[in-house]
Amino acid sequence: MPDNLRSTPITMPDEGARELVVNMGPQHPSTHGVLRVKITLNGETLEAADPDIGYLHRCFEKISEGLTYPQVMPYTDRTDYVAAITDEWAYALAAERLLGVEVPERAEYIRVIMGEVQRLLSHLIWFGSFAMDMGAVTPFLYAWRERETGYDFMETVTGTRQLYNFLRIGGVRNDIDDDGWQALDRFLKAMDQALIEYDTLFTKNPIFEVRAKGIGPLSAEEAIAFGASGPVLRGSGVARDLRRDEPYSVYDRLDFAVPVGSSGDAYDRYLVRMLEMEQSLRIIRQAIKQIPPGDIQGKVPKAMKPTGEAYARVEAPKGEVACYLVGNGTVNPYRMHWRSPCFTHLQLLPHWAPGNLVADMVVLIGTIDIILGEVDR
Amino acid sequence: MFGIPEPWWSVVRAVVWALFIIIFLAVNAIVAVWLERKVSGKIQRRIGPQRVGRPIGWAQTIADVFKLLVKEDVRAEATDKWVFLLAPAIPFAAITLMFLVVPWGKNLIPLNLNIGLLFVVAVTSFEVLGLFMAGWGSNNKWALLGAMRTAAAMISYELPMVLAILAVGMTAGSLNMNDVVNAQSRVPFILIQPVAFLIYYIASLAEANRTPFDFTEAESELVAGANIEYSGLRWAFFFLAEYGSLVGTSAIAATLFLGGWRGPILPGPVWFLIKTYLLVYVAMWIRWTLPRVRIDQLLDFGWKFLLPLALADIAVTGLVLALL
Amino acid sequence: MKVADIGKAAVNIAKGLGVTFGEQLKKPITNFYPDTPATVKDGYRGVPVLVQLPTGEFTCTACMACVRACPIGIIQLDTVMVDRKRAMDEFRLEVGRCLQCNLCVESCNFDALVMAPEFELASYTREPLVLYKNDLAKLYAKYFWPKEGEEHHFPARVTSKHHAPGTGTGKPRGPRAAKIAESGATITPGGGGGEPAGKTPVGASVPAESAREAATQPQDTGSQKAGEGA
Repeated sequence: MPDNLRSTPITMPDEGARELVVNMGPQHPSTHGVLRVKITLNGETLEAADPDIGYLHRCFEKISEGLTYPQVMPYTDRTDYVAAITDEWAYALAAERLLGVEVPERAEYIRVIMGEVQRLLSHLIWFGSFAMDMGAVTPFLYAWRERETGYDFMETVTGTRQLYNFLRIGGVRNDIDDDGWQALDRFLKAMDQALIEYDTLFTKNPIFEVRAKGIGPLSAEEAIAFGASGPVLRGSGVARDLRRDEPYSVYDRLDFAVPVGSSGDAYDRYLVRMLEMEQSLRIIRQAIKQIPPGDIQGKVPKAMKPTGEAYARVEAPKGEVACYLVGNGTVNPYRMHWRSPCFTHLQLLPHWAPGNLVADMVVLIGTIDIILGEVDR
Repeated sequence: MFGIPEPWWSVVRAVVWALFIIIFLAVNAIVAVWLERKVSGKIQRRIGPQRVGRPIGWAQTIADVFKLLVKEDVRAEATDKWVFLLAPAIPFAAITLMFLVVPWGKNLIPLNLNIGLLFVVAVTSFEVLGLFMAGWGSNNKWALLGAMRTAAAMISYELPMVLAILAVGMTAGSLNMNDVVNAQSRVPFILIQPVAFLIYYIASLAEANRTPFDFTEAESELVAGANIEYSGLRWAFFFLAEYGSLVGTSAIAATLFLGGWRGPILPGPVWFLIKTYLLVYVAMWIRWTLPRVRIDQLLDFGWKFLLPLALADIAVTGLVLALL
Repeated sequence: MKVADIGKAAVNIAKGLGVTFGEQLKKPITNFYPDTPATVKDGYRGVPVLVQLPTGEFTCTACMACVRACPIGIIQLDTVMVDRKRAMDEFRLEVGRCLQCNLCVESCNFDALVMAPEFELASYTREPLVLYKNDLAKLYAKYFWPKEGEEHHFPARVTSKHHAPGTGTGKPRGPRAAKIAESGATITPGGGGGEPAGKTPVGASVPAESAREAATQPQDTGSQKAGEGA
């Protein structure tokens, strides 16, 4: 075990304090959503952690078998509700592949801008909760201050603050008008300042470094073996980003870096996400310069009755989100399966838990950046 | 004095001071909690309590106290009755005693002990006893675990605190609190003994269980701390003791390092309150900025860093005093 | 622990403290709601409401497109035969379950539905969360009725500025609505503007408030007239 993890262990007298199974959640101030973790404790040390999910299961995949293709879109929002656009995007891509629809360029750029804004918003929530779990409540409030500016932008463009139903099969719902561009400008400026502030306030804080370094180490081979994706994978040193390796939409025309960690611990994943935020700002600024005039909605067949199957994946803030659609010639999808990265990452909790202290449990949950809507669908 | 014969005057004086300290602590709890919520609000770009006692929410804590008063006083059957019931009183008693040797003004000190500093040290160390009694008397494994962790942390930070106080005593040449204040007539000790001040302040944050050392109160920890079995007014006593400890150690720090009641123009007690609450404000500011330290890291920091630093400080102080 | 490390750590903590101190000097960003009103942006998706003309009739043609488009099926439409044509009799929207996804508004070919930015919908019972056509018309009047001296215009299905340039018209769509618009149904308090055949213009010499009130009462002969006119 690394040196900084435990130097002065506290041992209880033997009687009565041996292996104890304790419930953490489903209602708990620090599990982000309704997650139940059955923890086996030996005094202060974790011996095992067993996550129990399903508290937010809403039969999304089954329900979509009864909906028409456009009607599924609002449901996809509600999986990863803090970064709804990327989930809509996965579904839109799958449906577009199935129906053979082309998306006009302007719509693609708008999708990129909205998607990257969502990445920023999602990482802001993650940052705030991560800091709050460690006891620093203030960065959480600061993250929400930035999110308010982001919400203003989303509200100006789409009409609502969360759960947008903005992407359509073949394009987007509406264009970004002048008010929208101004709101975007305000948001970007606020984010520039905020990232510097978070850096000073939290990233460089020695207490945070001591609490996050060495926690939840994941080597590159382990990460690949566990099926990790997104920042969890990149924090372990594997340079894989779907936007660069399998570019969808117009990402092949945009220039951005992919931050990669080295030791795969919580601190590295933290840095990866913070750097991703900077890169998102860069992508948005390029997209604003490059966006061409044009249509925002491509040609879609009037009756959507596709046959065949399609699989589409996107680089969501939490990892790789994918949608598998099977059509059988009727207006409803025959099968819709949703691949959730947080669901895959949850298996890392039992892998990491043994040997850590109770106080690290929340750090581990936070470093996965879990969102239960996506896990349970 | 005032025409009252001697033995009665001492009694009257003692009673007045005792009442004053207890009322001051009660009012302080109310003010400190309100101040904490307002300061945290300001740091977090929001407003804090507003409605109860518009427009600044001054009555919020009073309302909270009323709520606590009407709560049911629950006590589990299997608890150790007298240990459980007496536990909240101990930290409160310790804080009250701490104020006995704190000078409020030129001749305004409740008890002018020649060993004032030693008295302070002795009294702060039995706060731990109250918390441990709470953990033990609750007959609850988690309370006991929490109490043991708290006790471990508080005891670990006693030593650096004591050594820092000792450094001040050495610099002032006396253990009498009045002498310490008078010795700061030209320059406050914070400038002569900055390291001792930092050590004392950090240790006092650990004693009061405040972030970054508040693992016992952290909701993200499974173990809720020594006082989980307490409800209503009994729990309020622990709460009061925490804020009392904060203001008590700030008052001591103000006396030892910032010159106590000394200051131009304004009367002594006003300066004393200003300095004390300045340190209380800094403690709150620190609380809302820094994340929490883990228990083992906390003990590491106390034993492996603060204690050697405090010893080094004593050594240097002694050397300098011997040479001068 | 090396001295340099400690020094760096102390400096970083001090910088962090500096950040929070600086934040204390800035104004709060919170809104003292409900004492100060909460505002939403233009085009906010609140409740889908029915467009009601100044004459009191709805532009809804009972085509059921919104009923089919809603992913959760909260819209119910009762129709009645008027002059051998289907017309809307009662419109029922369970706003308590509305996702605000906007699919109903977009599916309407006659611009009969528009999203009103109403968000204060909380109630103690379930009944107020089911809105009928009169309730919807009241909400429409609350948000889209013109102010003094302004013309009434049909809101586009999203506020027109949200459309790509050239696509939003602010004009009603569909033959029936166009006909009504052609007849010059505009409202200007103090008279003026054309009126549909045989009807007194509502609000001609009545202050705007009660004009709004009067207009939301569906005129019983309204649908009859529309049926005749169509």
